[in-house]
Amino acid sequence: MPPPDEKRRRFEAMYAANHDPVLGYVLRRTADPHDAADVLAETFLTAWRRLDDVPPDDQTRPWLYGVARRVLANHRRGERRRLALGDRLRADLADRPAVEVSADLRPIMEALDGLPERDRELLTLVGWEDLDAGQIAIVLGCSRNAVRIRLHRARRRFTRELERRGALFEMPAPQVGVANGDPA
Amino acid sequence: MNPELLIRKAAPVTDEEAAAMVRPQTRADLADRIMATTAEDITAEDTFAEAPRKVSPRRRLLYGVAVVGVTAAAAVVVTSSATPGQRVGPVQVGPPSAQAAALSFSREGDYLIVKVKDPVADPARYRREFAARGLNVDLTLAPSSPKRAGSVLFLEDDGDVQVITAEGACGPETCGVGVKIPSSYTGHVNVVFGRTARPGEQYDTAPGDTPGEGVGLSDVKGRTVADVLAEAARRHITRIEYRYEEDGSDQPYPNGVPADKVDKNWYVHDALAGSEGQVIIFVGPEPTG
Repeated sequence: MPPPDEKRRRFEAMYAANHDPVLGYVLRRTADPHDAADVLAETFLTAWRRLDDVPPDDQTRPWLYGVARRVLANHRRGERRRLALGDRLRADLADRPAVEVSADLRPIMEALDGLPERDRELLTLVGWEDLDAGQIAIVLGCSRNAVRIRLHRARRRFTRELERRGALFEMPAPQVGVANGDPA
Repeated sequence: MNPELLIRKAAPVTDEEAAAMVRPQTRADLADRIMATTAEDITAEDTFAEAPRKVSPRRRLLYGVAVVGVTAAAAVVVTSSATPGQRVGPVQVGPPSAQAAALSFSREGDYLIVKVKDPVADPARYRREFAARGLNVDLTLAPSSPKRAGSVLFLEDDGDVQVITAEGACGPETCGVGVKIPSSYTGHVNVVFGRTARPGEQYDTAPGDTPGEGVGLSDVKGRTVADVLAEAARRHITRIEYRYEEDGSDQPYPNGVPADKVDKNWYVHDALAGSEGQVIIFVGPEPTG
């Protein structure tokens, strides 16, 4: 057990570095500000309680995404917990203007919605959170190799969903330095 | 081929946008509260576990209008404006001409200007008067805070329709709001304006309203609990939860203070709109927490 001050210092550093990305992760996956506030609060509460389990450096953020993902899944199953901790955040988020996806991008969201949850999570972790296969393995708690195989299949199913909707997109060519620099 | 690049373009929110939604003090407050939790709080967590929420469609829809779309908003319109004893639907007394018009129509160049003369009319009347001129328009006024009165709470159209707002000047008796429709317009329009709520009438704005205001408890800071409860009662707000604050701390009530422990002479520091019409009031023995 680190001394209390050391524990606080570690938590504060982790919180400062990851508050926005974790909030972004949550808000990209739920439109409900109340749920988003609760998931964020519960994710960091979990991190505080289990501070010694939080992996260091560039593994921290994927670990937090993994916690947020499980909390969010519980919320979707109706196992909501309203944390007093999240009250002020709830009010801030509830004040935000509603976000509307522009019409030309809507088929992309519809194609994503048409996929199994597992595929959607993989593709969005790459597209929205910019994670590579190794980091995704931490979020999902599986092997890097399993991520590569699943990602490959998820891409195929997504492309089929888009085509089925008759959406014509010019697929951008992969660029150097793209997050999934781990081609399947 | 790289589908993720397409998916990236469709990200609903960026991290930067998410960051901008949270006030700096909210961000610091959450970290402090988390670090102030103790082992007792953790074992007591079941005490603030909540059963699955009952979803109130009306509030939810108004919040989500921009995302959810037209049909949802149309449902809002009808339910939110029908008060007990009000005639809704096909029931009508006498021919339309025998009733004072709820709308006024005038022409301005290539536009038809429609203004609301009776802001508390049945929305079916607005629809009929629009229809009589060949227009497919659903217009409603929903009770709101004075601040939102006269502003547009929701608009759905096929483009080109403009709205005439009278922000903050839309009492129950007069209303300058309206719509400006191109003469050539043939599509459907759905617009909801705010109007000042009548005494005791619940605001029909969303949880996204200004904190404390969507539930009718603005300007509560520094007032006594008794005073604020009286106002809540006037507005028929019954679902209230309390949070304790004294000298920057929420001890000894980190998970909220039970109503029977709240002294009516305490002070209110803040009131936030909780989920589904509930109000969360921050209280303590000192005027500020």
